[in-house]
Amino acid sequence: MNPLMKVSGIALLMVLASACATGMKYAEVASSIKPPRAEMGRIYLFRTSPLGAAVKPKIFLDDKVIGKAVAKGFFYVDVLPGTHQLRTTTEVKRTLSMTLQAGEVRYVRLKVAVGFFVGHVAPELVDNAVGEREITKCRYTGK
Amino acid sequence: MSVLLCEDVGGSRADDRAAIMHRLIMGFVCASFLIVSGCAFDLVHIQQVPVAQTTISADKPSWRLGADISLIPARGNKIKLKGGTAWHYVCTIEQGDVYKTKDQIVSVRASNIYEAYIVISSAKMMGFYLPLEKTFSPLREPTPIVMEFI
Repeated sequence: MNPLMKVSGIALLMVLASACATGMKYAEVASSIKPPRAEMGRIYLFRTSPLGAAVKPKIFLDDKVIGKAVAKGFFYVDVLPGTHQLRTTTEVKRTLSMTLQAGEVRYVRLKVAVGFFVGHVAPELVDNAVGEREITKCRYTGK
Repeated sequence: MSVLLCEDVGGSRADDRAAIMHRLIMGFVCASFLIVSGCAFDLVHIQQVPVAQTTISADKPSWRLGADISLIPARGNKIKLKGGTAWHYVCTIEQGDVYKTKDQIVSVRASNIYEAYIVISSAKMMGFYLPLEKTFSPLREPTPIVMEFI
C-alpha cells in the first residue's frame, strides 16, 4: 500500500475515534446516577451509531440547548412533567413530540441517517427495555 | 505559421469546451443546492386538524386490544398496535374518545415524529390525538378494532 494512503487511513481513523464519546461507560456511571426527584421526569438521550461521528448537532428541548448528539454517547435531563419537543438540526430539522409524567423515565435514541451533504440525526422514542439495553454501549457525555 | 494558427484554434476550442463544462457543473451544483435547501428531506408532513375542545367523561372503562392491528394514517408511515395492550381513557374530542397505553410506544411518523394517543368512535379507530400539538391526525379510513373491556 502507498505510504500516503496508509497515513491518510490512520489519520481518518484517528479523526473518527476522536469524534466519538470519550466519557465513562454507562456501566461505570450507572450506580452513581440518582433517580429523578418525585415531581420530575427523566429523559435519557443516546446515540449508539458511530456513523457520521464528526456530525454532532446540538439537541434542543423546548428550544433550549440540553447537549450534543455525540456518537456512542449518552446523557440525561430531568424535566417537569407535560408535553415536550426535542429537536436536532443538521441540513434538516428533525423533531420529536413526546409526553412525560412525574417520576417517569423515557429513552430517546438519536438515530443517524444518510443525508445529502451531511448525515441527519433524528430523535426517536424507544421502549424502555430497548433503551436500557442499547444505552449500555454508550459513554457518558453529560456534565 | 499555419501550424501555429491551427494550434491556436484548437486551444481556443478546448478552452470553450472547458468553459461550457464548468458552467454546466456550476449550474448543476446551484440547482441541486436550491432543490435541497428548498424542500428535500421534509417532503412528508402528517395531516393534522386542530382540536378545538376536549371534554372528560367519568364512565369510560379501560380495555385491551384483542389482536394486532396495522393502521394507515392519511399521511405518514404505517403504525402497528400490539394485541393485548391495555388502553386507558384520557379525554373526548370531536372525532371520538382518546385513549393511551403504557404497553407500547405509539407515534405518528413522517419527516418528524409525534407521540400520539388513539381516537376511537363506535369501536373504530378514527386516527390519533397529538397531545403537544393539540391536533387530530386521521387514518386513511376508519378501521374496526376488537375491544375487550377490562
